[in-house]
Parts: sequence; structure tokens; C-alpha cells
Amino acid sequence: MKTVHKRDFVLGLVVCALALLVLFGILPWAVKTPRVIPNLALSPTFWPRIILVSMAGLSAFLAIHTFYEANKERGTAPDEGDEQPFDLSDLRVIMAALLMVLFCALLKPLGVVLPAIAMLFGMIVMHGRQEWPKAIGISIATVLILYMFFRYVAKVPVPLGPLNGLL
Amino acid sequence: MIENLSDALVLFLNVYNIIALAGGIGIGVIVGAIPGMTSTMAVALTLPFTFTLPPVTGILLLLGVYKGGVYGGSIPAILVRAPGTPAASCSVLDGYPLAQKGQAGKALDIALYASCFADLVSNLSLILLVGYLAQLVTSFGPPENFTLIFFSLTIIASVSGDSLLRGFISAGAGLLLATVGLDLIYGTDRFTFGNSDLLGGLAFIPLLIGLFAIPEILNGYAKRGSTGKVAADPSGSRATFADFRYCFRSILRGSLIGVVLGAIPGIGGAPSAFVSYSEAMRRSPNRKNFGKGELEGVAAAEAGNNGVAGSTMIPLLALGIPGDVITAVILGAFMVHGLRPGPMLFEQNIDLIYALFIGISISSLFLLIIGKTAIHMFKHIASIPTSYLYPVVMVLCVFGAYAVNNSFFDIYVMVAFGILGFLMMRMHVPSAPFLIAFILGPMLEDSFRQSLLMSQGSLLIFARSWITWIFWSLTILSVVLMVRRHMAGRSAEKALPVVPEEKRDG
Repeated sequence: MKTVHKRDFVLGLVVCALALLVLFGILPWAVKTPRVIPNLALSPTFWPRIILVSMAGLSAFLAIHTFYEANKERGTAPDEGDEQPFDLSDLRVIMAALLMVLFCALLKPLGVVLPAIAMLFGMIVMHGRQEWPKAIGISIATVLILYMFFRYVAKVPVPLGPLNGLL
Repeated sequence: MIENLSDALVLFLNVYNIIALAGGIGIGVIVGAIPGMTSTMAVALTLPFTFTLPPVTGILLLLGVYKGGVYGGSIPAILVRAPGTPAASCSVLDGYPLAQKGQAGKALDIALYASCFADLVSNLSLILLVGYLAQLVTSFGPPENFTLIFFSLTIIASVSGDSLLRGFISAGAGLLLATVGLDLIYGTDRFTFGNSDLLGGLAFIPLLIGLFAIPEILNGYAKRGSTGKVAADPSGSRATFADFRYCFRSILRGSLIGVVLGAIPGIGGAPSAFVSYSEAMRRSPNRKNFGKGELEGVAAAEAGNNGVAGSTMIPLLALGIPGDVITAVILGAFMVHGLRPGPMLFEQNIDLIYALFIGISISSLFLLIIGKTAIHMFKHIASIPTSYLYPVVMVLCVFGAYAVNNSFFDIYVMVAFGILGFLMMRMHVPSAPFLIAFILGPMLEDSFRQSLLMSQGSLLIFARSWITWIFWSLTILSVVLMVRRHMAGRSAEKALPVVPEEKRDG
């Protein structure tokens, strides 16, 4: 099976499963429906149901269509240039994504500025930059400039955490 | 009329509006000129800066970014054969061969002149036509609105990339997430899971930034160290007035093609550039030179591409429906300022509309001046290492998302949708249909349910007037044409220059 077929087949199956899960598992308790509704179409669940049924149908069709296409092409050699959706180079991507998640976790205790400086520095270093002093300088300067702009020009009260009173 | 115009002049004539327009064009040209950075990303990142600005200033800033971005894409297309935007991909065909012949300066000049002329024609069309269309729309009720929005959803087909099915699945996800929050008719919770941050629904701007900016940043880690490489020096030969006169017929034709195609939701700049280019080739006595470095080819492509920049605002301002992803973002900017584009805007805020028209009218001149400067600056811009650029953009995203509601929750939403957007990018699921459906979804549902309330449940209300019939017919026609174009495009795709995948949504 070519990569493009595998990708579409998996996508179709996953989306179909998710749509059915939401339709039958989550929707009944996540959307409160009034007892008396004059018309089915006016129910708060009507629109989400229509969307979920359509998504389940379309994604099932994508999976079946891809499976059929792959079977038709069985025997042909896979393209050498076939792009893999995920490979080892994505380790850096995963680490960058984890850094963003860690940043989110630190927002409440530390405010925006300190975690932003740390995240910016981390992201620059993860890009392969070895000039640490330059990376630290850029990280601090960028975040402080943005902080000053949003705090004093746009009047956005950016939380400072432990730096409260210093800036 | 005169009174409205004088009010608009008062509204427009302040130094901040001029700075916003010029600055926006400058930002747009710079971002459009950096391969890997999309115009949509630029408009999305600029949006939070407009919150505290007056509506006219904020919207002019975004329009400037949009117009600058459309032109900016042609600079790397001509110099390094890497179109900065999908719409600039046609300019590669003759622009890059001209650069290889040592005529990069001439190609860039003619691209700029064609862009400015087409932009001017497009702006004039917007100013002359939009009022009439808005007047017509005042007779619309919920059923007409439903059919109109349903029709405008057909643009999803044109932003679905190489698979309509994946585009529809993406749109379905956008429609579903748009239902999060309080139900407008019964006031019950939908998918809020008891979280009060979700009662008002998912905030549009963090979602937008997450979906369009963060996937590019994450993708930068998979291909680190890549920056544009200038192949040709833009200094050197320049275009003369004789060159402009030589290309004028193609520029005028391309501008008009751009105006017509731009006013139709979902067509966009790239098809317009290719139609203009093929028409120029068909009619030119030098058609043999097309594709080998023909100046008229660059002019036609850029005129077609930029001709849509003003007219794509016609459906947005008159009907309140976005013609493409960027105008969808601009629609969000109107909403942030408590304004709803459409006929009511013409009745209640006509001075604002005229002030925007004045700004739009002079934007072509600004584009000419800033574009000319940008040609020389491009070498420096393209050399910014992505290892610094992307992390800085990430921090900008954080501040932008936080500024929406001063809430950490919006940053969480941004990061979550950023990761989702990256997964979608890798699975080749386009994110533009998601965004368009997310914006239009609530309007579609509201008008649908309001119509059914009016008709006491009868679906026949959706065929009650000639307007609804027109929109049903247009929807069917649009779907048929787009499916046909999609099928034809798949076979023709290999013949066209390659646009980087991350650019396709933009």
C-alpha cells in the first residue's frame, strides 16, 4: 500500500471512529436537551448530529475508497519519493510541541514573561543554534519588547508572576 | 452623500490610519516575500494588534497586510523560484527565466507596476459595485441568509487542496467545534463539559493563530535551517515606460479578470493569475516566448493575481461572507470591533465604509512606494535564519492569543489547535476549510433554526423566494464547476510549478 493510501485509510478510520464516539458516547450527555421541543430540527442536538453523521459517512467513504484504490494498484511498486507522514526528524517536532505544553503548564504559577523567555530560548537551541549568549539575549529582548508593547501600548494586563513589581 | 463623505474624511484623516496602512503593506510585503511564511499567518498575527486600535485603523492595517502579502509573494517567485504565496506561482513561469537572464530588476519592476495598476482597478470596482449589492441584500430574511451562507460554504471546495473529501472532513470538524458553547435558542450548554471558559464558544483568534501559525513553526523543526536563497540580484536592469506600455493590454485584461474572479467567493488569486496568463499567451504575438522569460507573462500573472485584492472584499462588505481565508480573518476583525459586514453596516456605519474606501484607494500608491523599496531589501529579509524567526513568531503568537480575552485559556486553545493543525498538515488535511466552516457555522445554524421557527418546522421556507432559488442554483452550479475543475486540476497539476505544501492553505 502506498503511503498516501495508508494515510487516507487511517485518517478515514480514525475520523469515522471519533465521529461515532462523539455521536453515541459524548453527545447524549455533553448537550443538554429541553424536555419539550416543538420540532426535531430546533433541538440543540440536531445540528451536531447532522454534522457528525456527515463526518462519519464521509470518512467511512474515504477509508473504503482508499482501500479500493489500493487494491486496484496492488502489485505496483511504492513510489520511492513517497513522503512518510511521520519519521525520526519528528522527534524534534515532538520535543518542540512538548515544550509548548510545558510552557502552558507554567503559565499559572509563573505568569507569561518568564516561561516565554524560557520557551523562546529552548526553541532557538532546539533549532540547532549553539550561540547561547546570543540566544539568551534575543529571548530576553524579544519577550521584554513584546511585554512592553502589550502592557503599555495595547493596555493588556500581562501577568508577570514572580516578576510582579519588577517590570 | 456629501455629509457622509466629509464624516469619512474626518474619520480617515489622521496620522495613525496612514501609518497603519503603510505599515500593514510593509509587513505584508516582507512576510509575503519570505518563503515559508504565509499571508494568512501575517494577517492572523497582526489581528491581535488591532484590538485596541479604532476600527478604521485596525481594518486598514489588516487590509494593508493582505495587499502587501499578495504582491510580496512575487518577489521570491521571480528571484529564487519559490513563490511566497500560491497566487504568485504563475509569476515563476516567466519571472524566474527573466531573472536567470539577468533581468530580475525588470521583471520585479513590471510585476510591481502590474500589481499596483490591477490593485487600483480592483479597488475602484469595489467602491463602485459594493453599495448596489448591499442594497439588494436588505430584503434578505433568515431563509435567504441560510441559502446565501450555504452557497458561500462551497468555497471550501476551492481551498481543499488535492482532496475534496479531506477538505469536507476538515470543514465538518470546523462546523462541529463551532457548536461549542451556549445554544442560542434554548440557552443550554453544548460540549462545554462544565468549563465556564467554553460558554461563549472557542475564541476565534487563538484558534486561527493555532491553526495557521504554529504548524509552520513546528514544521520548521522537521526541516531546520532552511532559508530563502537569493539566486539573482534584483539591482541592474529596470523596466521602462515603454515596457509598461508594451504589457499594458495584458495588464488591463488581467486586472479585469482578477476583478470578476475575485468577486466570486472561493476563486482566489491563483486561478485568476493563471487565467490572465493563458489569455495573455493566447493573444500575444510573442506567445512562443511565454515560459522562457516573457515580460508580458509576468505582467499578466501579477495583474490577474492582484486584481482580486479589492474585489474579494465585495462579497465580504456587501453580503458579510468571506471570499477566501484572508477575508475570513478580516471578517473576524470586523466582529472583534462589534461590526457585522453586510447591508446593515452600510446603513449604520456608512462613514466607516467610506473611510475604508478612502484608505483602500490610496493603498495602491503605498504599495508602489513600499514595493519598490522592498525589492532591494529582499536579500536581507530572506537571510533571517528560521532558527530565530520561528521561535520569535511563537512568542508573538502567545502574546497575541492572550490579548484576546486576557485569559490563559486562550493560550491553551492556541497550542492545542497548533498541534492539531500540525497533525492535519502532516495528514494532508487542509486547515482552511476548517476555519471557514468554523466562522460560517454559527451563522448557518442560526439562520437555519430561525427559518424553521418562522415556518413552524416546514422546510419549504428554504424555497420561499426567487433569492433562495438563485442561491440554490448557484450552489449546485458552483459545486459542479468546482468538482470538474478539481478533476481537471489533478491531471494538470504536474505541469504547474510546485508550491510548498505549507503555502497551500494560505
